[in-house]
Amino acid sequence: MEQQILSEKESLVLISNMISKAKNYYYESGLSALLWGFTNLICFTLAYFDAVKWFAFPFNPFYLMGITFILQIYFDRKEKIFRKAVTYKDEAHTYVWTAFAISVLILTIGGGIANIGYIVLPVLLLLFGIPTFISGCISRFRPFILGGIACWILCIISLFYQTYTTYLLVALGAGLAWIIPGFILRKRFYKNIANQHNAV
Amino acid sequence: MQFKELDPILHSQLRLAVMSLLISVKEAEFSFLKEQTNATSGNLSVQISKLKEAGYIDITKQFNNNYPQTICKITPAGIEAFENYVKALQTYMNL
Amino acid sequence: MPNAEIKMTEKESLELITSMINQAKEKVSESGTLYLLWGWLILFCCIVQFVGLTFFNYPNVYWVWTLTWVVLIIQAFYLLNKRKRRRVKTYMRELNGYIWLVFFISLMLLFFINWHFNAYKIFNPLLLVLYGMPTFLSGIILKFRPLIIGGICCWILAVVAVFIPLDYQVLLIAVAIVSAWIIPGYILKKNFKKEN
Repeated sequence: MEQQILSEKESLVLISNMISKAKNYYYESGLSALLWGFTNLICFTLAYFDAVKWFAFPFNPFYLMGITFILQIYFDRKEKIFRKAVTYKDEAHTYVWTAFAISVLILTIGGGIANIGYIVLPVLLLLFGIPTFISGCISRFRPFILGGIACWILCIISLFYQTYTTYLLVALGAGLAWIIPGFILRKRFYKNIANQHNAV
Repeated sequence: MQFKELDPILHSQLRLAVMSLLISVKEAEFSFLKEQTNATSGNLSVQISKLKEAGYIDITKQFNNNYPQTICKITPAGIEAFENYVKALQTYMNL
Repeated sequence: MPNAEIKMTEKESLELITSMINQAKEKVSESGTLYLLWGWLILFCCIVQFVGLTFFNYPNVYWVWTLTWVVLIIQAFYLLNKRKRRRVKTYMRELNGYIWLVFFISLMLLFFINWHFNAYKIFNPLLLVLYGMPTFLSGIILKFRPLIIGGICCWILAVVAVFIPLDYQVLLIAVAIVSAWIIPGYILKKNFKKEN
């Protein structure tokens, strides 16, 4: 870009072009979605096996979440190098998922103390849907919007079972809401990189 | 209609482009600015320094896993200057 | 690679630029009206329910909550009207809209769950968890601390409610609503008047 003085009209065009370009920037590798999607899928499926006594588990499968949390932090730090800009959408995503995480923690800890039983699971599906739907709306990413709605539908369905089958429904919810969109994000991500390489 | 004065710091192509980019994001890395403006590293460095001197942007140099990064962020003064510039443009264009 | 020239009229350009400047300034003006409206409404229903059950032993007192549906419909018209008049759409306002929309959906789901499970023991705590989320998020978006604190209060009271006998839980909801919506609502109103 040369250092020239622009006319007022050209200045306006330059500004709006740059803003449009910046608005279109996003960095989403789909890694978090896949990570948490698979973790939930595995945990709840294992919990189901444990409940129907197919095999006994030496520890609570949900402790795997702790490992996933550490992995998430590790991947975040690695990805930070490639993330060239932090947008307002990124900020919004962080808020929404943080509030979600806090709510889930309150639910599981409080629910455990109060010993409320299987109702935790439909409520969990309700909570799963919230950040997924909002994220989808913000990014205009339809798979997330549909995933959120799917979680809510599964929530309603799970009310008619009220047994350990609900574990499978939650696993399915995690799959639909996070794993499938996660793969879609990943495909887009690689296509983006390929496009950038071809352009250079 | 009275014409408002255009801020000379902003009234320059590359600096204006950089400010426009930085007002659209929370923060951006040097390489992002370079890609979007198609400027050379040297020229971009110079212009960013001028913007920093004027107090319009903040620059943070950090290392991420031994990888150097230069993070730029617009300041409240920068936002105000940008807004005034746009308002001044409007007086010239009868908008 | 040549830059693709994005064709916009000057007016569109200006709108885009203005909305981006507003977003950068993170200035979202909120008059607090809706917080006060719903805060007082729910407080009223809570008190009526508590007094009706505890002192008069009147089991049909739950009908007072149908007031919320009436107010909701009125609010829907108010919001639709307001949207037509608004010119510049900011990103934060859009996000705020989604958050409260999802809150409403979640409430409906929670009522449905309660109806099926009859889990009255856990209903109020869950309600408080749900109240906390959009309040907390709105507080962060508006950079308004009283709402953030209000949201956290809701969550703390949600945990406390688990240990309180059922009839008294509704008092905790009342306290939560005062701290989360009524007090911040008045502060918002005061700030809004000061700015305009």
